[in-house]
Amino acid sequence: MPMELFQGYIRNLSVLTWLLLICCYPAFGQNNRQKTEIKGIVTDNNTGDTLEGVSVYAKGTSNGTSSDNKGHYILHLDSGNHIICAAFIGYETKEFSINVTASKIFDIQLEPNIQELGTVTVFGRDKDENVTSVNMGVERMTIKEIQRLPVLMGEVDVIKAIQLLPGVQATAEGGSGFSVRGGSPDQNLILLDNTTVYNASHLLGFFSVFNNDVVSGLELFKGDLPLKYGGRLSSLLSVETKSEKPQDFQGTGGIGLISARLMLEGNVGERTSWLVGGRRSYADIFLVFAKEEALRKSSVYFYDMNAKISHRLSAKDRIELSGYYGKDMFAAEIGQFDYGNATASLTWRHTISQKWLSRFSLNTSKYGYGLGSDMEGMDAYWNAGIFDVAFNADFDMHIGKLWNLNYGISSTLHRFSPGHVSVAGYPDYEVQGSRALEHAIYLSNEQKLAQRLTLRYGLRWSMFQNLGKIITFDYDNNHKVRDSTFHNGGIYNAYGRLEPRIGGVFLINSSSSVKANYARNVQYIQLAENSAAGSPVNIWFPASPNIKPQIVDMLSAGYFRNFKNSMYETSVEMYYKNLTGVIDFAEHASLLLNQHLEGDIRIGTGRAYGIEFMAKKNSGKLTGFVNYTLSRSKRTIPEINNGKTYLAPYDKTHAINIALNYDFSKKLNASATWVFASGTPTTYPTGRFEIDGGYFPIYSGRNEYRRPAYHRLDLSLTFIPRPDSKKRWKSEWNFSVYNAYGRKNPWLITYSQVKTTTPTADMVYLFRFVPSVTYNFKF
Amino acid sequence: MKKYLLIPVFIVSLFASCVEPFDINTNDSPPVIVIYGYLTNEQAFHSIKVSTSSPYFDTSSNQGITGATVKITSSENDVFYFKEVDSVPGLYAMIEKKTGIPGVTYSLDVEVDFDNDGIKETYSATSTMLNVVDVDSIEIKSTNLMGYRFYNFLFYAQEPPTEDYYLGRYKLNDSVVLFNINRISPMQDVAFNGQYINGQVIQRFWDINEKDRVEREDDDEYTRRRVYISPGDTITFSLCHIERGYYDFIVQCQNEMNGENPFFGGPASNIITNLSNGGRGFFTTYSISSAKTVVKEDL
Repeated sequence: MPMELFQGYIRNLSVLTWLLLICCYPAFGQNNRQKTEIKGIVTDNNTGDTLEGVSVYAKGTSNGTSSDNKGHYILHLDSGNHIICAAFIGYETKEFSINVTASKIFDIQLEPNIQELGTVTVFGRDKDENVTSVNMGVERMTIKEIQRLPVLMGEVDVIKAIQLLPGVQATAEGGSGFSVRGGSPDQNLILLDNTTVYNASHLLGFFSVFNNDVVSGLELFKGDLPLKYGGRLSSLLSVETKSEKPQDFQGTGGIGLISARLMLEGNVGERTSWLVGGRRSYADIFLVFAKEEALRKSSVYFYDMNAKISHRLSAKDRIELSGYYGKDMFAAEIGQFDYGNATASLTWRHTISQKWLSRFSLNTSKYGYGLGSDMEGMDAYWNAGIFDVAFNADFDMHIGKLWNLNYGISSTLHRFSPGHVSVAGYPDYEVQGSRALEHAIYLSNEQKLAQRLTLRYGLRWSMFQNLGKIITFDYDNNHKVRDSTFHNGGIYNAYGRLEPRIGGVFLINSSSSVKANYARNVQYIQLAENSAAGSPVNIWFPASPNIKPQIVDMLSAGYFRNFKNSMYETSVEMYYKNLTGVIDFAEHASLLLNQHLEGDIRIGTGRAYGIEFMAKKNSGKLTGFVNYTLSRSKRTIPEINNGKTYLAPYDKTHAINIALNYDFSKKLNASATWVFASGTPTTYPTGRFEIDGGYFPIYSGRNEYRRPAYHRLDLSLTFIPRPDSKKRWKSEWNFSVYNAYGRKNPWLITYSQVKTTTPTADMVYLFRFVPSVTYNFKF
Repeated sequence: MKKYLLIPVFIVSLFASCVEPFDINTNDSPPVIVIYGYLTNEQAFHSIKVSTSSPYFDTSSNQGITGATVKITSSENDVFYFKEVDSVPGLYAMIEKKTGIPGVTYSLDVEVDFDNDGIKETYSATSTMLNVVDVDSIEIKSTNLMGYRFYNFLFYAQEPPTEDYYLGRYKLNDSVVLFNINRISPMQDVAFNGQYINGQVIQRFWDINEKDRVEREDDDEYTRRRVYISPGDTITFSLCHIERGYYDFIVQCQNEMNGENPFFGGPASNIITNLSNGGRGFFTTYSISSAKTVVKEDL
């Protein structure tokens, strides 16, 4: 056994084997506690998969724990005889008698409960999960998979990784905005430890807010959201920070071209673990070498911090406090611009009984930005943002194969601050802020109707209430203010919508299945943003008496087939979405500092459909995936484009993503990604008029043309100098090239009338042959 | 306020971004008539330009339209007649100097057979001249910014309590500067509605002593557009009280002429017009109040 473990360690540097190694070499992680430690991994005896959330306890004592997301458990026991129990939903409870004299490893294998064999995997992840689970349109990636992909400027980025998945598109070159199945970026619910993140970008979108050292993995639901989530039309991206209890004080970090990062984690006593992580970019230090004085006096940087504390109150209770704070700063002598997110969550997980689990959480999220002018005689400051406080109570109840219930409530208070400007010497100008409550109550059930057929269905009742002391405006047919109403506090407008979602899987055999589902999602808050480049200067605004909630009805169906004992996974998924209440912006819409933003919004309908093919190889020296998406996304809005249907801004007819990874040896690993997508729909000038020697455009219909297709190859090489080293300090070098064949993908198209007397067009492209090197370490 | 909005663009330029010519192939839109002109409360030979639109990337300039009948009729039943200026095809000027009166509505009518079907079409637009907003005084102050010498231009005036829009027109000695649509700075009163405007900086002129250095450093469109002043120069400032529609027209022209702005731009949108019958361009009226000062030696 120790030899096997040792080899496992050599194969990869994961924390999991690190922990096991410590078990094999007790001198490593030894502490001076008087109690002895019993630890090990809980696995499914049939599949060998690790199990998370298994209750492991010594009978008759208060000593108990639950296994973490890698199946690890640790019990601290007094010397002597103990009966160790391991219990988990869907598995037979096991008891073992052991005589504890010194710390030891004790792995536990659980037998699946016959009644629920194979199909309902609620917590653990099954090798065949893609085939057997009711879920469709779900993508999961572990941080290990993400870290192997080539990256821009050496920054591993979870959002860049999901942009490679079928049906997911980057909205701009190098940007961290993404479009799921033709939807807008604001139709994605992005959660960090279950807390909404309103702007997931750093450095104007080139990097995301997620620090890969603290992230354990992500899940992306492309439309068929679990019923406990809602509020967005297109997708849910749930990013989780590391939750496994570290064996000892340890850390990881890296030094790259753009930023340096460090994550530390450890324990305080037996029940408490902590984690802190931080990053800061330092590209700006090179500005001191700039030729121009103005550049030397500028600063450009971002930083972010994550922190988390977990405390086990008892065998049945765990609380967790998690937070994120990040900021981007751009400053020059003439002014500065900053933006950032702050999130925090407090979660209490309580096991009511073996089959009844609960989770209560309090979450807050804040996003804001500020622009300041320091120019003489023009001192001004402009800031805006959004702030949320949310409460969630969520319950899982498992009663046999017919009742696997998930139910709960959630309630969020949104505070919108659309803009406040102060100009020295004048009264402040403020766009009226507003508040709203968003609630939901939901119930879902997953049941196995027959050996081959499993259904999941449920209902979410969401509600949205505008409240506060506020003036609302009434608009006439020309979208001009007709009348205004003053509301003297309390709720002045409410919407309630039912969101049914139902899905099923039919197993053709153990390695193939067909699935189908229907989901309705409702979105009550949206983003006023025109820029595909993902501008941080944007405004979230709520549904209101003038803006009805946006609704999508999505039907999807798919065929899933695995080969060679799940070494290969393949799937075909089709979807059709019908959208109502779709918003778009009128011509010349003024999105910022506009008291009457609602007058610049036009409402219509949308349709999106597509088919996604995916093939994935999970093991062997060569791993990776290839996917192809054929899709369409359209809008029809009576007052835009003369009422004619036009392409949604994120419509991409064809999209191909290839990501391959090859292990040459323990020391060397190479990977490559290639992406191709049809050009984004765009509006081009087709005519012009002239005034005073200046030329002004007359445009085609909205999104009538397309930009050139986008494609790019990225390469990376990871070198581990001493993979067999037993030293505590582990390191690796990562070399990558972004856009390796130097494709000039247009980022912006601009017009100029200077070089020649009549207009010419230019394209701005950003990244060609961007090499980077990053040094990563772990201790 | 506009300049600091460019900070993000400046930041992005730090990334090795590159620019190169880009070919756009589109189907050309059919030609339409373009009419542009204005009437003010100054005594002048006011003029109207009539031309045709052309394909966006056409390399010759847009053609003037000759043979049109142009007139302005006021709500007081005054009629101003225009005749074609021989040297500039498509330019129509008043027969005699005339003055517009605040509070009066003026209608422009242009009659021409633009589509060559043998029948004349009429293209019309109306505008009401707004009241004069008096400038109390103006001031020129020397300043330093980002390592360069500038003169800030400040003005003092009582702003009316209504929602108002303005243009600033500057004469450097005898010539009007910065008054083309693409260079003009329109203002709205959100930040100081109904307040006393107590020395607001609304324009900045380069110090003549920076000219050599600036032109050595860059030779681009922005450099060539710069206006340099020196002590002894006379600056005449005119506050033009414009209609909302004309303000929007100018802002839209300026927003659309350079293509996409990644951070503050909107969807590509056709520039609104107040011309009827499918014409493009704009006809407007505005009232003007002026003040004059001489640039003093910096102390």
